Amino acid sequence: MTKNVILEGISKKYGEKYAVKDINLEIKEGEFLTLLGPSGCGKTTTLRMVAGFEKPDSGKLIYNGKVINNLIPQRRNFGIVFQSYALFPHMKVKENVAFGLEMHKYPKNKIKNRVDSLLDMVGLLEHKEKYPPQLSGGMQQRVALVRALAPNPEVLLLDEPLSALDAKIRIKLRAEIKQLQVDLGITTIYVTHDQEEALAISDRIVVMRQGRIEQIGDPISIYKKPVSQYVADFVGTSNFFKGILKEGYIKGKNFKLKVAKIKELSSGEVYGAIRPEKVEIVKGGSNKERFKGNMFEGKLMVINYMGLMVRLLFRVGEMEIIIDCLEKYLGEMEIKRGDTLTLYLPPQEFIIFKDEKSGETDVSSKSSRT
Amino acid sequence: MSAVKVQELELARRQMVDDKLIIYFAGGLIGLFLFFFMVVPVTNILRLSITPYNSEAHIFSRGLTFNNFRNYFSNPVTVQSLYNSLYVSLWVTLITTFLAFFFAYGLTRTTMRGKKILYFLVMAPLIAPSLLQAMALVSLFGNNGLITGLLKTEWNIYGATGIIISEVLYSFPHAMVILYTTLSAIDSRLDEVASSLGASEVRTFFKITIPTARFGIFSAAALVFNLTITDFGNPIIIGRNYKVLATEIYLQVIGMQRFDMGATIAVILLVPSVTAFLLNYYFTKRNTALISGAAKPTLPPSSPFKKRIFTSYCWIIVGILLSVILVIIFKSFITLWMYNWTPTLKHFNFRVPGGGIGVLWTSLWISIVVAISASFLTMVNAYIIEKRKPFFAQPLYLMSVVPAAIPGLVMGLSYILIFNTRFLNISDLLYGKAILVIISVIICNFTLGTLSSITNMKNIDKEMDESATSLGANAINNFFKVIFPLSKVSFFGNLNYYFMRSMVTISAVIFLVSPDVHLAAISVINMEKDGKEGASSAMSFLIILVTCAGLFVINAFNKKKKAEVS
Repeated sequence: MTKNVILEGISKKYGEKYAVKDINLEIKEGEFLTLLGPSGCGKTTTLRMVAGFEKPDSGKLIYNGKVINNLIPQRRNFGIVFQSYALFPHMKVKENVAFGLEMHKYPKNKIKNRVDSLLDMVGLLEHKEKYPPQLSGGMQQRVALVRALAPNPEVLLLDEPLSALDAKIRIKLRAEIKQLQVDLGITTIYVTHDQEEALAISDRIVVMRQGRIEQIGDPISIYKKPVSQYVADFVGTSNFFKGILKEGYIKGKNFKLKVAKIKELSSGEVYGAIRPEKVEIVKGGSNKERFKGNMFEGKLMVINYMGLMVRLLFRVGEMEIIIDCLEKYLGEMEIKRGDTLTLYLPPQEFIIFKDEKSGETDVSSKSSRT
Repeated sequence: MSAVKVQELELARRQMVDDKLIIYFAGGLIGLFLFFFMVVPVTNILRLSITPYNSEAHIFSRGLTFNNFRNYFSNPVTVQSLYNSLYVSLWVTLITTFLAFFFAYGLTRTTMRGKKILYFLVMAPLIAPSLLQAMALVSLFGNNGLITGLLKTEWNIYGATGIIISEVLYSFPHAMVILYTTLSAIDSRLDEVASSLGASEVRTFFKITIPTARFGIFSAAALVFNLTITDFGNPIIIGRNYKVLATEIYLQVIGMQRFDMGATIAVILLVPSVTAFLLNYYFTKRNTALISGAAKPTLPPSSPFKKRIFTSYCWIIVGILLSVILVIIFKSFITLWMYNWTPTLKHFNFRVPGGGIGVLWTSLWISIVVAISASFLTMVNAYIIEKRKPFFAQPLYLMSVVPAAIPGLVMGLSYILIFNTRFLNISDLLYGKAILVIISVIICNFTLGTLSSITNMKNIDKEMDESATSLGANAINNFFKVIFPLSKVSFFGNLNYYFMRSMVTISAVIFLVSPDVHLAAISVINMEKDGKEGASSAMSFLIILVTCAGLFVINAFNKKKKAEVS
């Protein structure tokens, strides 16, 4: 008997439409697992079923060796934190945190100590007499977090907890959440649409798409080995090249790219994807061996400064190629907007996906980059 | 964030009662309450309207007959009450809607001064029983009227004219509130755009203002029609020989012990009132759909001419509404109206049979009970319907909305028709008792309280509820610790509403008063009809005083609560 949370063939329909379809997933005890996907992919519905606010139409939800489909939320003892904080505005901070303890009939004398130590843990002890609206968004979300943790939940559920916050607070608080989770060793399911957040915080990521699981893996494998064009596009950024795969080359309208990694079964219509940071800018004097076909003359159209990194948008004929490089490199190479430069796409960096003509994804809009 | 380990604590996990059971139980109780005190009596009155009646022994027998309806429609005297009702109601609907629209327009679309005080004062008719208007009109324009006396004219106000004017005065604030809400919710920038495109002010008014507000106007009109056709107080005072459906029901039942005709006319009255209710409901829905949540821009200053016109118009109307109350207050201190103008306090010494100052205290304590229990009941009801949505949420909602369609008079009559029999052996507990009066007032006003509570529930974040649930709160804890504290404003709004309604209502209780339970508003009718006009005025004045005092206390309490929270 393990304290893993297991989803076995879970489906949920709203009307005729599946919000979640046949999800199989096991969240290990103490693991930080993230459900990642765009809005409407079923990630929140999945979380709400684990919390007990929605009931699966089919499949089994198993916890601690028992099927808990019909267990009311109060008896699951899973803590939940929402994007909207949902703090009780008429209760002081300390009363908010004490709420779950009172509901679970903790002894009165122990409640105060526990509330104090929890608030101390997130550095809000001095604010315990205040009402939630008197606190900043980040503080409110910390209160919501310790309120959820107060009754010692066995699983922590976080539904886009950082989405309502400023970028800076978001990064700070996500580090705090991760630290807290590691310290407590609590099983955590985290829902977000922010791929960067998911990569930074998770032990494992579940990428979801239209109610189904597209890929499960640790952050590195999700980023480096996406299983589909969808994942490669949603997690991070990719340059896509659509064409026919034949004898180690992708042949498109006006290019013929050599690619190194070829899966045996892949032939016919494919996408070749390459991450922006893998594309090189070629300057004279380099003596590396390069394939002629993978070199392009591109005109630099846009420079996006992102601090340490810059993102460059090149126009190559009718195609666009995105390159990420260090900002200081830009200065050293004396590159500016309007320059025409030679770009090199190393064959070994390509990932090949079969062309998805299913029609359920909006591949067309994304292929604009090819 | 420090890395302190949270100390492990053993949870004293108790078995929690399943939420579903609590919701089914509470919702079931409310459902049964509505079923027994609304569905059953109303169904019964429908049944009795087609049941043979022994008019000698005054008992219903068995069988099926349509004789009642045939008698009603074939007798020119009785059928006249239907025509009369429709006639006055249509006139009142037209006049009130028209007048109230311009009042609301003045308050929402001009920059005249004193809009807040005008809005407050125009509500005056709500704190008095709906017979005060008729009493004041009779005092001024009746046989012994002050103005008719001064003009030495034989003309008087009794009949259709009197009913129409008194009902306009009575229904004015009701229509005004709807039109005010409509006009203030519609983006006034539409008007500005039209003007900037070159439309004149008059053209803008007819091409933009009126069309965008049309559903609000229809909704207000339907409400006024419903209020008028179901009102009993004003027509009984000022109608004299001009019978309307409501007074006809009363005369048939109280005057002639014809319960069959009472039931029949009640069913006939249900037709226009239910129709008006459905129209009102439909137009309100359409109206809400039209209203945008856009931010309201400040109005550009109106022209001095426009301001002067609307200021005078609004103050004249408020003046008339207030003078109704002032005439009654004045009259209660006059020894004998038109004959002896010596000031006196003797009218406040109620030595009248079946009356006395005691009726005021009965009204007061009944109103307190009604206010608290109805506010609470409707809030629980709204919580179940809007937040918990059990499988019976739809029928419960339907039963909660229907009372607005049923005139108080019909509801009251349906109660005596069912509870003066040996219905389920509980009649003795209810008939002639205060509890039945309380239930009747709660049921008759159940709809508005529930609807306003539902609106309030919609404003409470769903996640608030869910947070509490996942922290271990069951439905009861959730309601009392989270939902109820967050609904204070709406709760106090309902307290005001139910207290006021209970103090001044006539039609819902006229059939239910007994020697044991006599109410102030009813005693006003009795005294007025006995010719004790000074005493009836004095009692009206006291009702207004007690109602105002009650509202004052409720709001003082509300303010104190608010101060504690912030």
